[in-house]
Amino acid sequence: MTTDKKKILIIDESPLYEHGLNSMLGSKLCEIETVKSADLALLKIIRWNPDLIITSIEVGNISGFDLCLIIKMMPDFAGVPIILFTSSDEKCVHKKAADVGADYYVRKDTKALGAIKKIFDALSHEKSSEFQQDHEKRQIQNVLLVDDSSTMRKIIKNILTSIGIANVVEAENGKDGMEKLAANEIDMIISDWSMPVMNGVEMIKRIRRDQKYNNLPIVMVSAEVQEEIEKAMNLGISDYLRKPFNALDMKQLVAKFSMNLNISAN
Amino acid sequence: MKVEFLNPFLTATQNVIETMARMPVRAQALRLKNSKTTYGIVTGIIGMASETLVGSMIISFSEPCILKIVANMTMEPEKDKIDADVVDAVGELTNMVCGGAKTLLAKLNMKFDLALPTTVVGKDIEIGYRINTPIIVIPFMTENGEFVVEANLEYRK
Repeated sequence: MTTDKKKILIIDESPLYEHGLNSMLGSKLCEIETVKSADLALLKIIRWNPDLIITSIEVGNISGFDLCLIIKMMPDFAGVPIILFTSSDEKCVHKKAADVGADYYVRKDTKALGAIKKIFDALSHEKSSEFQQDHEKRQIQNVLLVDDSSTMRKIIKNILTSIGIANVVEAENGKDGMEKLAANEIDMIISDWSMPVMNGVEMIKRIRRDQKYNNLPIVMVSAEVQEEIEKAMNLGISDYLRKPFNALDMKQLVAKFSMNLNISAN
Repeated sequence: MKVEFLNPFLTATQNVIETMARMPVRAQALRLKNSKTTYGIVTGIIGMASETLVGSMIISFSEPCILKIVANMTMEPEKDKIDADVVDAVGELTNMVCGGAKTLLAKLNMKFDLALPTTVVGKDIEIGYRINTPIIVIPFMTENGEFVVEANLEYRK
C-alpha cells in the first residue's frame, strides 16, 4: 500500500463495518466502499483497484474463500492484501483461510474493527498507528531467533524464509542470544520464554538496559498462560505469540513490524 | 482422578496437533493403563504440581505418527527414522499440550506449575511414576497411526 488515500473494499451483506471503519479511520485516510456479493466485488476490484479487500465468508453466490482464491489468481490483484472476516472461530475455518491465500483472518466480534485498524495501519505505514508510536516500522532482513528447541527454530525459520527474510541468526538460549545480538546486525528478535542457561525474559530485560536496543522489536513465543505473558509485557516485550500457532499467525505478527515483507498465507 | 481434569488435556492435545501439524486427530474411548511402561517409540513426560494436586502428563507417539507430525510441523520431508530432532519435537509438543491444559485447568481454578519436559526413546521402557493412582489413557487416532496422552493427577496427601 502506498501512503496516498487508501481504497478499502468491503464485501459484506451489511453496511455496518463500512460505517464503523469510516468512523475509526476517517475519510482523510481512506475511501471505503461496500458491495454485497462476490460477482459485484470482482467487477469493483477491476474498475476501482482497491488497496485492501475485506471479505466476509458469507457473500451470497460464492463463498468468501472462493472469492479470495479467485482474486489471488488474478495477476494484477494477487498482491492486494485480503482480510477474511467471519463469525466462526473454528480452527478448520482459520486453516481454510490460510489455504486460499488470505493474508489476514479476523473474527467478527467486538474487537474486529480494532483488529482491522491494526492491519490497516501496519499495511499503510502511517505514523498514526498505535503500535508504531512505540515501534517504528523498519526493513526486516535480519532476525535473531532464540529457542532451545531445534524443532521450533526450524519451524519459525522456514516461515520467515517463506516471507523473504534473508538472514535468520539462531541462538539456543538467552546468553547465546545476547552474544549473537552483539556480533550481528539484527532488525528483530523472536525468542522463546523457557530456556536453559538464560531464559527469554531475563535476556530481554538485559537487552532493554542498553539504550541502542530500545526500539528493537522483540517478540516472545511461548506456551505460557496468557496472563503470565501479559505480565511480562512491561519488561520490554514488543508483542507475543502463544504456542501453538500456525504459519499465518507468525507471518502476521512479523508483518506488523516490517514494511518490506510480502506476506501470503501459504 | 476426576473426569473434569481430563477434558483440558484432551482439548489441548487436539488443538496443539491440529494447529502445529495441520493434522486432524480423533480422540478414542478412554482406557485405564495396566502397565508402567511407555506405549510408543518416543514419549514426553512432564511433571505437574498445584497446591492440592500432583502428578504428570505423558504423551507417547507411534513411529509413523510422530514422523508425519514432525514433517508437517517443520514443513520438511518426512524423516525415515527417529532422530534427535524428532525427540526434540516431542519435548516441544509435550510442553505445548501441558501449557494448553494448564490454561484450561486454571479456568477451573486449578493453578499448576510445570516441570521441564523429559523425553524417553523406545517402546516398553519403564516410567518412574511419582504417584500410585490409576493412570487414565486418552488414545488419539490420526491418518498416520495412534498416539496416547496419559494423565495422572492425585490430591496431595
